[in-house]
Amino acid sequence: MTTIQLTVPADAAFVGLVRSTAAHTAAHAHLDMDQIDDLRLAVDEAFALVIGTSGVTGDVSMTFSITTQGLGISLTGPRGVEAPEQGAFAWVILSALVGDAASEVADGQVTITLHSKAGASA
Amino acid sequence: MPDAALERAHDREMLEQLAALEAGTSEHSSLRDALIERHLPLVHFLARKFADRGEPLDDLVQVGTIGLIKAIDRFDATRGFEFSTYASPTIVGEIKRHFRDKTWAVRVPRRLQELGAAVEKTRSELTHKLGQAPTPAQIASALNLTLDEVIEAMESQAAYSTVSLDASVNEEAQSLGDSIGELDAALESIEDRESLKPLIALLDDRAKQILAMRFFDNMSQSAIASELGMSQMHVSRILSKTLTMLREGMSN
Repeated sequence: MTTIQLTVPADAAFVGLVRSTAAHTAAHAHLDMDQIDDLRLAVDEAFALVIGTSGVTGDVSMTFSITTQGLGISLTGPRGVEAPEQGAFAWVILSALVGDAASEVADGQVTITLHSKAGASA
Repeated sequence: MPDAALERAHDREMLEQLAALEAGTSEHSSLRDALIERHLPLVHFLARKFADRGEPLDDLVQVGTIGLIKAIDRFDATRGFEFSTYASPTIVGEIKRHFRDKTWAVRVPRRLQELGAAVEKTRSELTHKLGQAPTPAQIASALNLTLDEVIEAMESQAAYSTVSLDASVNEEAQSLGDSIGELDAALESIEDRESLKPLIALLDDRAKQILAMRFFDNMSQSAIASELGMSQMHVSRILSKTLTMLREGMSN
């Protein structure tokens, strides 16, 4: 397993950097082009979720894990509120875009994990 | 003599006169202006062919007019071509150049633009061949490039401006009604549908249709692209813009 760590300010201005990193690591994890396009959208969505609404300060730390199965991404950010409910639109989007999406709240931080399996495209 | 032939004869006469006049004189410039004005309908006609690609028609007419002026200045009546035959490719060339150069949000070097186009082309070819989207590594080996070069090209494509987002790709109406009805039904299972509905109502039909196809019919981006006759990149950008709009609308 290869892991890449990235920490950026909790500011939407940096989402492009996160998106590029996701696309780059996805290519190394042998995801296909459709999955990579979906992953870009998923990362946008997840990043927005972990930074919550405006006025939040702090960092978002991310780990990108390239395995023989595919790519795992975890994003932890300062959104101080509950993780998005499973029925929320954002969650419908995330689950449709990646094979597996989960969230967890601890110490006022929310973590979203995404998994895309290589060779699992529709 | 039929009207069109008469018009062409008049063109020829004016162009011959123009060639005989010295550039910079007032006669030259007023005759040149008259020629430009006379052919503006041709520019409009050609510009409209590109009007559904997201650039304002006015801009296309403007760059097309630059093409027309170049054609007038370069036309050599002694070579026996009809002026409109000579001018059309110059005008279209100028409009195409506008799309190539101006619609990139970030200035991307020509080499990367070409690489990006090659990657997109190979992506759709391989999607057909494999029956699913290729990986970047498969594209790299098909194009004899390194994985890094393909990634670089993908990133440069992502910098392509979003200008063409709102434009529909073709005029013929898709069967929009069905998928939009479906979208409404699918929304029923979503908890925050009440805040979503007015936002979705703001989307254009194309965006609604793509949203429904991707998230409720669970079609891949490639499948949507081929169904609607658009590029995957285009589908991807519409989705990205739509989701951003919905997300921002819901957080307000």
